[in-house]
Amino acid sequence: MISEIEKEISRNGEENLEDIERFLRNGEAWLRRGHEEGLAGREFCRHRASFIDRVIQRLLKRSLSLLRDEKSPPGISLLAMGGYGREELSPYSDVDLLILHPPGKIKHLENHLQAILHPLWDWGLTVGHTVQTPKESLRAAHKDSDLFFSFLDARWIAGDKGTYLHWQKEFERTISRKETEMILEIRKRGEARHARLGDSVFVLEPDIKEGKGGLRDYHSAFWAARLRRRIQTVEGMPDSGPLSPKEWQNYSRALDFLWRVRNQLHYHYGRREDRLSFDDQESIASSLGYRGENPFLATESFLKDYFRQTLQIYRLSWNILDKCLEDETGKPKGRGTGAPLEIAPGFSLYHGRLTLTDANLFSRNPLHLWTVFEIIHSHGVELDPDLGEKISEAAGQINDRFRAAPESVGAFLSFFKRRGHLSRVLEAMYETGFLSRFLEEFDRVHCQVQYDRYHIYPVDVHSLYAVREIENLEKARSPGGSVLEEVMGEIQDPGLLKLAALFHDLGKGEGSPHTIEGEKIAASIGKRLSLSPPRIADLCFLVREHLNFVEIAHRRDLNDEQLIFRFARSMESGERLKMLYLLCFADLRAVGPAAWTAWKDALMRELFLKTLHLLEKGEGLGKEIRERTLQIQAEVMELLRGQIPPPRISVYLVGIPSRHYAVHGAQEIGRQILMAERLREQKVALEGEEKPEEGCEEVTVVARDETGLFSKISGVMTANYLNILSAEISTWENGVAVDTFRVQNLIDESLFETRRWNKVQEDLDRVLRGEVAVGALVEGMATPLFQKFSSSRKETRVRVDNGASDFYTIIEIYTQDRPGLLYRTTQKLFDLELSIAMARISTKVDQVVDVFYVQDLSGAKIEDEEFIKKIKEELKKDLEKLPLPK
Amino acid sequence: MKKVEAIIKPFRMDEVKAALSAVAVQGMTVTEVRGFGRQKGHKEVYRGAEYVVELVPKIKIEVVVPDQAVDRVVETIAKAAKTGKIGDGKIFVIPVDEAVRIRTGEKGEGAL
Repeated sequence: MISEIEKEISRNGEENLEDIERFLRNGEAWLRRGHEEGLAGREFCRHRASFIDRVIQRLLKRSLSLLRDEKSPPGISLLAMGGYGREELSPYSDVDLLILHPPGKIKHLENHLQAILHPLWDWGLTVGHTVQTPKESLRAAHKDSDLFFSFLDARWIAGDKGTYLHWQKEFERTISRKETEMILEIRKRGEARHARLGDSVFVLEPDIKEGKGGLRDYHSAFWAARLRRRIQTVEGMPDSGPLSPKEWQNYSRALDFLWRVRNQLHYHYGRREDRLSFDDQESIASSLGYRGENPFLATESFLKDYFRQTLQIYRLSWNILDKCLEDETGKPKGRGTGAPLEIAPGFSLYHGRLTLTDANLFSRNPLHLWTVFEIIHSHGVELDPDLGEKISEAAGQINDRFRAAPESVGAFLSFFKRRGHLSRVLEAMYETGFLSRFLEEFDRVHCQVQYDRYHIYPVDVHSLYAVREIENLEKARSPGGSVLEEVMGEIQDPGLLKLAALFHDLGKGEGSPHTIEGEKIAASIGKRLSLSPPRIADLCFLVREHLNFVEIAHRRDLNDEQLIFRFARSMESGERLKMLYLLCFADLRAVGPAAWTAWKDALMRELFLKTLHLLEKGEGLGKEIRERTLQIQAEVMELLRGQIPPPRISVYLVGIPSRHYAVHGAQEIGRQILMAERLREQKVALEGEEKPEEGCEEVTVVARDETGLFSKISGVMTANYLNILSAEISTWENGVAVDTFRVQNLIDESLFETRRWNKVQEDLDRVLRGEVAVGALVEGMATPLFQKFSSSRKETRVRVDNGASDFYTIIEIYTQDRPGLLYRTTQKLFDLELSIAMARISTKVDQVVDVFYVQDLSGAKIEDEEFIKKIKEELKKDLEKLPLPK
Repeated sequence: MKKVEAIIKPFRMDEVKAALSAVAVQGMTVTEVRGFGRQKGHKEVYRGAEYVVELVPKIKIEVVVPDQAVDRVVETIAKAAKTGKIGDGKIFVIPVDEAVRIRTGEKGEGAL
């Protein structure tokens, strides 16, 4: 290619600047076109290095001819350093030169330098250069490690080869003196570099050069092999031994990919830029030819590839580094000493790492792979890189028989069941590729990312981290710890929770929401692992609901009791709720350091505690009640068929609180719904029936809920000589209040005499329309009849309980029964600006226990101690003023 | 120009955002914050142990708008954030001296 471009340009062997520049420009244009047409990364970089080589060679030639030095060469030698030395030049990479010259004064040195460097600068190349004698340069490299490493890449490009060879011989001598020291330095620098850039391959905005799994990791590996194995160029790597041919193939493929991305990144910015910023990932992906149903999917699949390749580079580079460190004495560096310890047949522990002593163990019986993981689970040891490779190879042979073998299933599940180093096991399975062979569902989500600023880690890594969070919680458990730790200690099946953490996101990348697909995947894995049907059901439940919990916690009104009630009902049991809470915590923590905040913590804990309280009280949540509710709903649908359109009935049925189903049957509820329907034309609906066997009457009042409604109704009852023995009041979600009263008739005329019944109805209607004040009715009544009441005086007691409900303050009143009591009490509550959501009124002989569930007018519990005191005092005072029967 | 800063209940966030978009508010800054006002924190009890929640989770929305839009924006937020219950939040209006769009260097209302 170069010669073709050159042929067009060169004229009769004489070099002039215009020609050289035109050659450079044509070369750059050719490269750019090549890149756009898909030129491989490595090839591009190499071509660019050759172009620059040729440009520098020609500039030197021109300079020599200009200064007529050709006959007595000045001994100047031009060396390419760093990336340029390795022939890895991206579009805007620096061109680093070492210009060597023999000691003593060199004729025209300055002129030559100017003749070479000035045009390069003028043409916009970033050229770094050092001018030194070989001795000076080696002395400098001795002091400066950066320089030392860039010398490892040195390559002669033009000028006096003798000077170069002399320099090289000296440098190789330095290498043999410092190799171990420098390899350790490379390692140390690598660790520091990773720590600085997030210590993860999976970061939001990866640095293609310096980041974990970036090109610098490869440079480090090359330098280590260069130092230890004395290879001269990267091409020497496959023969020098640290990588198998297969690994080398993967390694070069990954590098090729990275270079291509880097080239695109440089073109995208028009300058050297190595950071894959979030905002540009989409357009980079599209320029690199990634297509998808939408740009997000395309970006996601680009990032998936990117992470796969950087993971490859990170792993293999560090394997090379480790191996180069081991070379010298055959012992790993920087770890403990001691003799190998046989830990299981075929395995020994050596310097804290698990090694294989029987090379054919896995090929004889692949089930021995489980022994590796069992040892890691019990002892938390690391894998020796050689063993890791053996596992990777053996994992390739995993088939359905292996997957289904009882030994496999048993071993895998035991890691979840028993306490141990589960995360270490999963990491080792992940890094060796075992995990995605054993559970093929993981193959699809390998390095699968979600393209947003929030999700940093790909799905598979995120899942592993989620398990780690659960494990940490389990280990952190200490008396008096957080609610999370307490709850963790109560979990009955922690193994299942950990399985759920591992599988919760497997549906990702299969459309939205991923929980639908995820549940199916979890079910099929559960079956394959022979989990019992109830455990599979729990697993599916956790996978299905994990988004829902967080959504409700963050986006819904947690003071809405019906919401919590419905949520509690969907949980079915406290155990499930607890597992779900912990799973959601682990999920968020594993998203990234920023995802779990005190803010989210507070809301999620509130949802958890409120729901758990409801579940533990069990009101209306038990299985029988749920079944009863469904039964009643079906019956009501049947009863009202033809009278109300079914969709309208459904609206009613859904809005009826569970508590209501617990105390009323289908007939009653059907009747109440019909009464509620009448509210379209009238203010209040009233019905009643005699209960002769109980010696009382039952009255049902249905009206639109309003503040003070209960006090108005009880006032009307009192004014009509009805003593309220008990009451059930409930408010349906559509704003309909349904109150059922058991009343005792205080006069001789039957309540159901048309005249009397109409009067009750009329009074209620007028009071609710605001045409008459309920107080006036009560005061206007003829002297109440007291003879039916006992005259013995009992003390009035008022209790206020804030602990029993998360939503209401409960006021309990113990006092002696007398006419107008309920009216007086509810009127007082109304005056105190309390709204009554539920009430239980009960009378035993002459002793009354009234229980009111109240909130302030803003819908909150009464927490203010002063106000609570005031409520108690005023209620007591007021009731004591109410005349007792004489 | 004025900055309108609203502290609202988390679950009203979507309504407020939609309402603001409907009155052509271009951009806003949303922060998860914790604090307390008249709606004091509360106690949570788990297995007998008390956990005091002193700081209640809220959402803070900040928008900077031209003077003539302030009333409309405040009204919009107040309407969308209202549940009528305690803890609905507060809205503050703060004078803004200058605004600069970093990319172009535009200043004043043009930068909003």
